[in-house]
Amino acid sequence: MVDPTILSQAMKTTPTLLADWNIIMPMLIPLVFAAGSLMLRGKDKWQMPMAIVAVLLSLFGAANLFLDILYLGPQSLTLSGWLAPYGISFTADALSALFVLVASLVTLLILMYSPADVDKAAIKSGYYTLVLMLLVGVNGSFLTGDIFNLYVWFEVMLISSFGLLILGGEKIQLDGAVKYAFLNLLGTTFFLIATGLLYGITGTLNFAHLFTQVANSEAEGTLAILSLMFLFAFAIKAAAFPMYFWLPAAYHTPRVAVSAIFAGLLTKVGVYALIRIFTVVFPEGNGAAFEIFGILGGLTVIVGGIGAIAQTELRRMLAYLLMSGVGILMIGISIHTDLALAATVQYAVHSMLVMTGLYLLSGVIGRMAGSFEIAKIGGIVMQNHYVAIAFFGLALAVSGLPPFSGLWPKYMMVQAAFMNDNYWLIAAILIGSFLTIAAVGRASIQMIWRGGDVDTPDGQYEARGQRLGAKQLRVMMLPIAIIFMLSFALGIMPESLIRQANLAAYDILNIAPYVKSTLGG
Amino acid sequence: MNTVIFRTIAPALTALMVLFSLFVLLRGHNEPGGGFIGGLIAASAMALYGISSGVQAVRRALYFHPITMAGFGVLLAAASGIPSYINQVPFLSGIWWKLPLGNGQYFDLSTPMIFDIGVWFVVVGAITAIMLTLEEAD
Repeated sequence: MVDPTILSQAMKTTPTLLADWNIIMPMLIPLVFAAGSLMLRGKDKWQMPMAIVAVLLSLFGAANLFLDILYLGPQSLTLSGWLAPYGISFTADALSALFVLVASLVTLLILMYSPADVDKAAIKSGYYTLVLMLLVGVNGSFLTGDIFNLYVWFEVMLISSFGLLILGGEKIQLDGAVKYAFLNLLGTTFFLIATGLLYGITGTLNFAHLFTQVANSEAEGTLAILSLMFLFAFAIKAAAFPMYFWLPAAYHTPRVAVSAIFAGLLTKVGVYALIRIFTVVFPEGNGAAFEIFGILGGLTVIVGGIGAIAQTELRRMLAYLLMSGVGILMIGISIHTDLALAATVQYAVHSMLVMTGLYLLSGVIGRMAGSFEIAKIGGIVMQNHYVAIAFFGLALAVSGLPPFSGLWPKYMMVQAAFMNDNYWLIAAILIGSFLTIAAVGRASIQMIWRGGDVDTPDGQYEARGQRLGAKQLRVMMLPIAIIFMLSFALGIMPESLIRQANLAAYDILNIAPYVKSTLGG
Repeated sequence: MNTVIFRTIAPALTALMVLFSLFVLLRGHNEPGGGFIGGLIAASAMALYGISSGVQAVRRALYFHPITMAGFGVLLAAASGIPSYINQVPFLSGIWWKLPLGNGQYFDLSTPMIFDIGVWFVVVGAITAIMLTLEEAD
């Protein structure tokens, strides 16, 4: 028998309350249901209800966790009874909890849209299972307190996204998937190498333990190089400036619901990993990392805006707008004050919702017009007012105009840059916003107001048959309407989200409670 | 591969390999072995049977679809964390039950073993599914 005093140094001896399990629920529930839906493959009718139940339950779990953290501060659960850093920790602060909540919500909205977009063949190939596994990976990434497990959750997420990307098996999908897979695998490999080197230097993989170990480490030069390797790895995931090519190449190829879930979740996980690593592991940026963040972020915003103007395909244009948003998030990490980080968190939430909404809407417009080429789309306003209004509203939101949710985080970001004398970042944000307005404005004029194809003269309306049934349109518009309302509500009542974002920013900059929740003491 | 000797021996060899894979699975807790390596041995057994008797024979012999087996494995592995819920310990903690066999002997049952059996199912299911699909494409 082992001496109990020795045992208590390595193992948790106090009872674990059921409330402590809240932290793994947003990951565990979809995992169990994904396994269940894998077992019930072939029973096509069961797949959709199961997925809805799973995501509703994990949304409930996420809300539960969110409230826990709101009242109690960062929470941690180290699995299998070992104490951190020996066991594998799940640690969540306000940032993780907020992201998990929004990710579950976005997945729910996409599942509501899916029946209109996903055919039988895709369900047979496991569409709903893959969506659930994607949510497992995303929520796992947000909640894990261990850098190697962050890698594992990234892999879970990537493998599910590969599956979703090639559902249908068309030539253009395989082409996009190859680029997507290659660049993402490159990023993952760098991530893994850097993690190995970090373990070699510090002897730990636990985030909270890394925080104390890196502060005591004398290998400053190596750590500075490692920070750049992490930056490179996650800049690929987040689709930042020089490594963004995979995103516009891949995101317009799968079905719309898949594009939407990618746009809502995947790049944000890259940004989350950047925030987490550059606050817990490299709190001072170690070397020039924060300056590089600023440069890459500014260039990403501008290149994204220019790319959006240059595109003639609706979903490719949205891909560039998504990328432009990632640039703003990177600028926030670069400025690194509490105001800037609050703006970053707020913008991330806004971008998750609005980009999902725009992609879903692009599916509606594409179905109404029979094409995703902007030149071939026309007369949307005559076919259906609501679709036109929704596009107008979400276009305002994505370009950061009132009364929608994009305004406040951009305003806060400019203010934060101003207080830090980062004038060229302000210029980048404003130019990027201007380019975004130009891109969505042009798309709106051409698709919504023009009567028909690109050659239709002004004032004429080229009547086309309804391609989309009324019932199907209702199914597709419901999640978009919810996103529209949310974005509007966050635009006119921003305090609610700003308060959560401030809390998240506080948790990001004050690591002590995070470390204490994991390591105890 | 269509020789009489191979076709006669393969089914017996398959049965032997599956038995050995279960042995490796169960000794895995304290000695080399476990769910992953055991699963690979069982999947090799399926491969052998598939080469000798054809894909359809393997599917009939498995009865369940291999992907279903993989899903069941994930479910089982996740379920092995549930007893922790009742015992008020963190998820996936090892919990042991001692079944008395008489004469002061005990048979140890544990949640890590259930987890390992889950891993075994995942590996057998996933590898067999990949292999059968590749075989069928020919």
